[in-house]
Amino acid sequence: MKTKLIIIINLLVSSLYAQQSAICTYKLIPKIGSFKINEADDNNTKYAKDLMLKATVVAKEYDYTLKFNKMESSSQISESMANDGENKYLNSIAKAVIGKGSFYQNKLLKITLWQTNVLGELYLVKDSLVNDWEISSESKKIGNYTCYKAVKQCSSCSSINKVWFTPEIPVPFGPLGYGGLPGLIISVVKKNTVLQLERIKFYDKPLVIEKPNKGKGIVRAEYDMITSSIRNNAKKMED
Amino acid sequence: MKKIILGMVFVFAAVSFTNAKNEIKNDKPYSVEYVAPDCWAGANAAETHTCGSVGCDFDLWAAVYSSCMGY
Repeated sequence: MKTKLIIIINLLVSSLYAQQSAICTYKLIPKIGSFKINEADDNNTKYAKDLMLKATVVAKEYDYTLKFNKMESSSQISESMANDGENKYLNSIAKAVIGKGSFYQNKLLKITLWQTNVLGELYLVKDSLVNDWEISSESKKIGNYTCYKAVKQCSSCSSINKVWFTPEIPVPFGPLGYGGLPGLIISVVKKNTVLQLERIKFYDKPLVIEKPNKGKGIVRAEYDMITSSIRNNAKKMED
Repeated sequence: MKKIILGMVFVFAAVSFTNAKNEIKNDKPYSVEYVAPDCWAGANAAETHTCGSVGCDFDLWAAVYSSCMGY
């Protein structure tokens, strides 16, 4: 029933948004009480929480931009905001809290490309843009939009990816490479933070979306292997 | 003349006493305990508390690890 309703809403609003492109601005919102240090926490946890709390304060100042037309989207932290300021470490962590790299999505090719830098080497990580989400009947209003919850298991870890999307804007795109749903992703929920749409500006003319082409082309599984190997080497060096 | 010399001696004595007192104060041992974090475990903890588990966000892990190691 819920799926049918989403499809009907989709068809109704499709004609309305048929010619539109948009630029969306997302902001990081820390959850209430996030990174609260408890007496029982060990030293590493206290260190991590303290650092993340400071980084989140910096991250709140950044804008995350998603640009889309009917077929493609691109998203990344806004260039004008992405300077390193006084504390390069804290700024680097703050950007990572939001999500580093540039994402590109193509509805026709059903692909997501993630241009990311791993220890100085540029990679172009290819992934599929498909609806492999479990759409819940839970809904809520975010701004002017009625949004539905969708979840899926992270492929390389034990966490659950949770997003809120709206069929009122029927494009399969979202920030941070999330997508494939029957509507724009309005909010990406992480354990202690939420990346949420703050404003959206529609354009009648199609916006030009640039497809990234620099970087060594790999698939997600290869990226996971590379980064896992770096983690293991770091552990060996410490031991 | 005697009064002037006595006055100068008194001023020097007062300054010396104050300096000596400050030195003692500055040398007072503090009970500061600094525990260096285990950078690898610290980066794992940051990742767990931000995105949900270890292995879900390498960029965050790397940024925290680099910051901790001073790279």
